[in-house]
Amino acid sequence: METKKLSEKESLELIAQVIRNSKNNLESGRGNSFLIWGFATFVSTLIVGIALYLSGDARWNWLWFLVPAIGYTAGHIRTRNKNKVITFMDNAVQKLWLVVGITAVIAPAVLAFKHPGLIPFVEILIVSLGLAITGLIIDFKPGFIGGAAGIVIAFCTLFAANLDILILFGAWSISSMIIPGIKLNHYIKPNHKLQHDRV
Amino acid sequence: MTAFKTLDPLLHSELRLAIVSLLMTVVEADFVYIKEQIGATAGNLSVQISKLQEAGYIEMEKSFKGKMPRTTCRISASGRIAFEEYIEALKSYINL
Repeated sequence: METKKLSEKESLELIAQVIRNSKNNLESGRGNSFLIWGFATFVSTLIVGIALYLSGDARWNWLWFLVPAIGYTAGHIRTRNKNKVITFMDNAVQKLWLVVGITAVIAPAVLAFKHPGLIPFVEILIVSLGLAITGLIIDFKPGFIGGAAGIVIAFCTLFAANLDILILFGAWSISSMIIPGIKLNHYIKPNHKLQHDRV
Repeated sequence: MTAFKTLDPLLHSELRLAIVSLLMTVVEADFVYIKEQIGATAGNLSVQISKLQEAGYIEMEKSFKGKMPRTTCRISASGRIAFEEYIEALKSYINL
């Protein structure tokens, strides 16, 4: 592209083209955020489940903090050296997850002292709401469906006990994060264009 | 007869208009991203970004990401106004 002068019509066409390209632009690998947090949850569930099963000591539940530890570390490494653009959509999603993330870390820490039995319900509900809203913001149906499935799973934890809750946690990480993450990566083509009609 | 409005000469150039149009659609973008999206050479892009910055149309922030220098650009309030006025002026030429 050069610095040449444009006719009025060319100017309008150029503006329309740049805005159109930018609007359709979605970075490849965007589903990796879903995958990182999904696998962090799944691996932590396995570790906590095995530790609880073998020892029966409830203090192993503190290992749930592996989820944010793995998730934030992997997320930081992934975005460390990327060329970056922050779209208005990115901005909305980032702010949403700032609130969801802080709540999801504080809520179980507080509940642990008074109502530990409610932690799975509250935790899955908070994060699933975030996932469903993210799906709506980025106009990605499987993301919204995964979040909605998570909300249902959150209520199921109220009727489950002990290791059944861990099975629900595992199912939640797969249905609400891992599958939507794989689908999102699959639908974003290598040329970085999102096919809105296909998602 | 409709009076033609004056087109801002700073924006009425292919590359500078593309830069400002792109920055209107995002919160911020780094130099490499703008270069990839617009398809300009680094030297030319750098010169045009400096002109837009001198006019107060865009804000630039230089930082380091790891060991790599990084330049982030975002449109300023006056840049946004100038772009909107440019569109209005264009409309007067095309009778929209």
